[in-house]
Amino acid sequence: MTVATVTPTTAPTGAGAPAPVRETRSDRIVMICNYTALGLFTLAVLYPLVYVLSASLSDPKNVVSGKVWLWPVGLSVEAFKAVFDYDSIVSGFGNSVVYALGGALLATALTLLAAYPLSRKGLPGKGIIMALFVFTMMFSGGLIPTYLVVDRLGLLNTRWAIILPGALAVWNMIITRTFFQSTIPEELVEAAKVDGCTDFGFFWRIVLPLSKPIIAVNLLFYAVAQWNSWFSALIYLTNEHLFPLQLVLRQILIQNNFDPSQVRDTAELIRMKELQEQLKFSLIVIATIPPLLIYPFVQKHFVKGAMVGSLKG
Amino acid sequence: MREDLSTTPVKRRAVVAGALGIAAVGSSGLLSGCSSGEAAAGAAPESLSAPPTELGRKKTGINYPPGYVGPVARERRAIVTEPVTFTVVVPQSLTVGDWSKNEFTHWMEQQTGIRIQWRQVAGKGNDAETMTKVNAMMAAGDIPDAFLGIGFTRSQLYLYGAQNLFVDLNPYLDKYAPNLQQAMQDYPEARRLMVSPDKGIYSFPDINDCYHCRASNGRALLNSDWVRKVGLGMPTTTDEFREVLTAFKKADPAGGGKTIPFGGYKDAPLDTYFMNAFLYNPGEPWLVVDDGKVGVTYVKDEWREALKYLHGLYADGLLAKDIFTANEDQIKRYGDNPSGPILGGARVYYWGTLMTLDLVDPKARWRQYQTMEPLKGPGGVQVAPWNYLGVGLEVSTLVVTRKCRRPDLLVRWADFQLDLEVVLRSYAGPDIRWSAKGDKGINGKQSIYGYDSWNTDATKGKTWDQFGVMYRSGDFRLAERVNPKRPTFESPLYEQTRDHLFPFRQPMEQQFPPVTLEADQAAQDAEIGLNLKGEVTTSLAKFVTGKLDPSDDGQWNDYKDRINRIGLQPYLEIQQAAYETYQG
Amino acid sequence: MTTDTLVRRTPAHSAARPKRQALGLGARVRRHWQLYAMLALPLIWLAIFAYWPMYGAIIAFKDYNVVDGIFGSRWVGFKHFERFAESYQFWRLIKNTLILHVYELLATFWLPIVLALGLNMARRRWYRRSVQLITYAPHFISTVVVVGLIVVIVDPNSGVLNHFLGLLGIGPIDVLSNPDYFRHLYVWSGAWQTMGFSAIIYLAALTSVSPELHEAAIVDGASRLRRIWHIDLPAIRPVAVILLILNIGSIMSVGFEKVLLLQNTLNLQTSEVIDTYVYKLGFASQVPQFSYAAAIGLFRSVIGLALLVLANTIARRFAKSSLW
Repeated sequence: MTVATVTPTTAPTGAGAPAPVRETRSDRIVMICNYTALGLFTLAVLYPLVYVLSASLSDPKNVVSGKVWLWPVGLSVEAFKAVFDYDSIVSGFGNSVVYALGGALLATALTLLAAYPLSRKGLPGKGIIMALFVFTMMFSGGLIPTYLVVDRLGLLNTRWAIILPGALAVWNMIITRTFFQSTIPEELVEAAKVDGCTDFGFFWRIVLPLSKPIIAVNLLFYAVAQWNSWFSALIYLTNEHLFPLQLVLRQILIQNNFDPSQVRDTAELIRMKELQEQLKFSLIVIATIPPLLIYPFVQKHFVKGAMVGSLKG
Repeated sequence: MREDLSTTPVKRRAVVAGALGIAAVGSSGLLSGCSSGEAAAGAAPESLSAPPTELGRKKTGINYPPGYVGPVARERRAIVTEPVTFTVVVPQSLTVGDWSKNEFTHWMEQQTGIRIQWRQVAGKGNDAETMTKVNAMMAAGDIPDAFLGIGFTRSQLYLYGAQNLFVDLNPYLDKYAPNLQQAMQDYPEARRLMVSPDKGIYSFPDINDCYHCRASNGRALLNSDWVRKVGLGMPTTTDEFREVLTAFKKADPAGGGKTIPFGGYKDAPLDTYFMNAFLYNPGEPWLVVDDGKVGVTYVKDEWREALKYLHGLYADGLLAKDIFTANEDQIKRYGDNPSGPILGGARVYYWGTLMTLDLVDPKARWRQYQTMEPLKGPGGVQVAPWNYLGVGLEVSTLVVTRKCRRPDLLVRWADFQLDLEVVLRSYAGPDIRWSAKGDKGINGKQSIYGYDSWNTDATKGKTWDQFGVMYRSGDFRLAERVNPKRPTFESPLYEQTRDHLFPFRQPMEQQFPPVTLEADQAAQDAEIGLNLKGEVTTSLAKFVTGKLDPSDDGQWNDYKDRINRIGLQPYLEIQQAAYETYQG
Repeated sequence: MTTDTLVRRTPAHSAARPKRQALGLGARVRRHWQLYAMLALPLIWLAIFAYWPMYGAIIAFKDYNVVDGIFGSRWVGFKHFERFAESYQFWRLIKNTLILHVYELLATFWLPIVLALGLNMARRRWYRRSVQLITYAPHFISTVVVVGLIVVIVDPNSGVLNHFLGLLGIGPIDVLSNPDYFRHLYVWSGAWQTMGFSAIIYLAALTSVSPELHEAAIVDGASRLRRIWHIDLPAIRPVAVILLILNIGSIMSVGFEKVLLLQNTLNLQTSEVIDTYVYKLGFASQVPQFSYAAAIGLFRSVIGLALLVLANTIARRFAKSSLW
């Protein structure tokens, strides 16, 4: 199917106007079903989110006793105020932003640099290099050796320890490679070469602008992954000022339930519970808002790529 | 004493450049990481040459109850005149905040002259995450002078101590820890609990004698108002208990059929209370000592009888349907039910697990719930499992590593913290007040101290939470002043434990002590223990809820078979050996 | 040079392009030197952070002790593997892990695709954008909260689920205590949580489909559903196949936190998976079990790799797209 075969055989309107999309009965049913299904699914997802938001704005006592189920009961912003009382939460937030941004940029760059060459059909040794990457997805040295490497490189207790070791996710790289394979045909490359364009030039001036969706996806995924991560920080950092938000969150939210014989000072139990109840939902809200905020910016880049599709013929 | 950890740009570049020259897979010389052949003791010779530390004079003006055993306030002197710095790894704590900016840290530095460079590990100190990080540090040879508040197990202390990673504090404790020596006299079992199988003492311990903690694992609460409503008395036998629950169900005090005669939640085991009407059962890991021989409770006939009893209760709807699956939030929801109490009772650690505590109202709901005495079973057994050895002395509070050049100073620093005033400041903050003569403590005797708030927003950043080295004897804890206007639950908790549980405690010899295992044994103990736990708890739940029938011989024998197949015999052998080592 | 000029030029060049002779290997490598240069940085990263630490995998064959270090610890060969294979729960763990993951795969693999297709179809931009935003959010709610919500909903006494079932005349079901329901609970709550997020990849692929293709198809009289079948699905097929292969490769690991929180003594026979077992073992152990955990991890990796290679080979033959 190419552009050339558009013939107005079925268009009921005048020849001059662009052919309108005429909906058949089945189409309309499909559309209605679609909207309904999406709507229902959204509601199913929305309810728990609303619950979390309401709980964060309610008096913690009402949350605990189960009075809150949809709307806030005992409206109060105490929970949010309490959050800001803890320096480690505020600094954690800032750190997480730095890690998310820095990590996303570095990781996306590495991903693109690896995915593009591997998407070109004629590259000798492509299979071997690909296998090298894939192998690391299945096997890893383990925690201690990775730690030793990071230590050897002098990265311990620095921000680089958070950004570097996890910089490339082979999974993302593979998806990106697939994207390049589907949307950058070999003919385009050949044509560019004939015109004197180098590989570098082609990549920089043609491929990247055409790849906005996948770049956006990578940035998003890496940023979110960094935002949610806490394990690297746990292992590599001993400086509290570098801790990301999730690490602080875990401290508060995850209570140690698994050893009943452990001696517990009841006053400590009360205090921990109180903290949890007070901060749990407001922390969740605070931790969830930034990823939600950046999404609309990413969404903008999911635009239909008009040009490239027309070459498929 | 350790160089600054942040790498300068120059150093980092050099290292990365070096790394680039390395081929894909490293060879042995590159990352030896740790020891193998390094010299052991890192202590300087002068660490043992200083004269022994003496205790200062007792301070006056403080009221102690008669017969008081515990920390006292004495005149204290600085430990060093020239500032000395040590690096110490500590857990992260929201209460403590930034350790280096903490008020108590400053006070300690001022008083002792010893400065600490803190390194914080995210994690609570005794959880898997902290241990992962700490082990990674040790693997890289990245060790501090000491660990504070990091919960190494006895087996780990022994393992690393025997390999000289941790310093044997024996010689230092004798000379430089007079407060600890005094505490060890007050608590005779202390030495056996502190010592490793090779007679080394690889940590400076902490004493936290929480009275009610010794029995709370087996506590069960019952609504005494309801008991009165149905015209009965607090039950003392298994039959009476059944009667009371049946009466609850019939009378339906909560209205609308919502009454739950007896509840619980999945992390609070039932066996720690109910099995003790048939045999002494301390709960997981269910090990008991009978005349010097170590055994387990869950394969005995008495255990089976207890299962039959519980099975009957559940079948009659007297136990909550979700007693094995509810989580803590749910049971709290039952307890806090807005229209009135719906729970007749529950097997919980204390009231706070069951509901939000209103500490001001003398008629608050939680006060209706009384600690039950243990029930007497048909065989006449009536035991409240009492934890003599697991509560009180805690090892691994301060662990000194071979990196430390002056272990004697750190020992003195730790011992310094065992003084009464320092203890109070350490966990309660600077706003403590000494009690006047006649002020009553939790146990009704003369109280020593009091404070307005403990571990609240007001004390944030001013204390070391409970991570410091402390001596909190039983008398000390119970000498906290009770504010007549704001009586907390501490008094009832103490009194009810003393009156309803303590009299029924089992003899100390029957308790399986905290033992130390060799590395190989520890591996087996962990795996078999985990599988046993899974089988025992799952089968208990099934026998009680009716999915299995304890009266069915076939099913009971199948259960015992499974237990044996998991490896009960080798497991018991390990425990027996460890027990005998403990006895010395 | 702009894309426009390229587009204009391409058809002519395609027709006139002569058949190239196969060049020698050396020449080909030199021709693509810039591509190799691009690969250099990621490969270096790979070498340092992925391959360098791999020597530590030998921990699985030793009795690792932090003091002795990796090379100083005693060599024990396959002792830990044998221990795992002989352990009481070995078969149950493997079975539970596999079933859970396969179920998850089958049930939820196609859901993000459907969601992406549905979103792509929706023409009202505000509707599409807000649905996207909302469905993507649950991914960020921490597991602890999600499980807390689940527990509230399925509560046999007061939960919403049993309320609805009651309206339909079905008696209250205790979902949490029944080992048979554990898997359903785990899988469908996971679907709810990750569907929106996973749909993003498919959406990105769908947006690169030219709208002219759709217009031409409409003119040719194709209904919506046929258009989806013939245009949209082929567009996402490469990505979907790759994701499927990758998922099969990681079949032996299951996120353990949610499993751990949903576990209780009554559903343990279906809810105990390899990850929770290893976690609990590490926690329960008096001495850290690095070697044992490493051995189990290695065992898992080997199986995963085998499955991955298998899946890849099948995909290459039948679906024409594969990892390598």
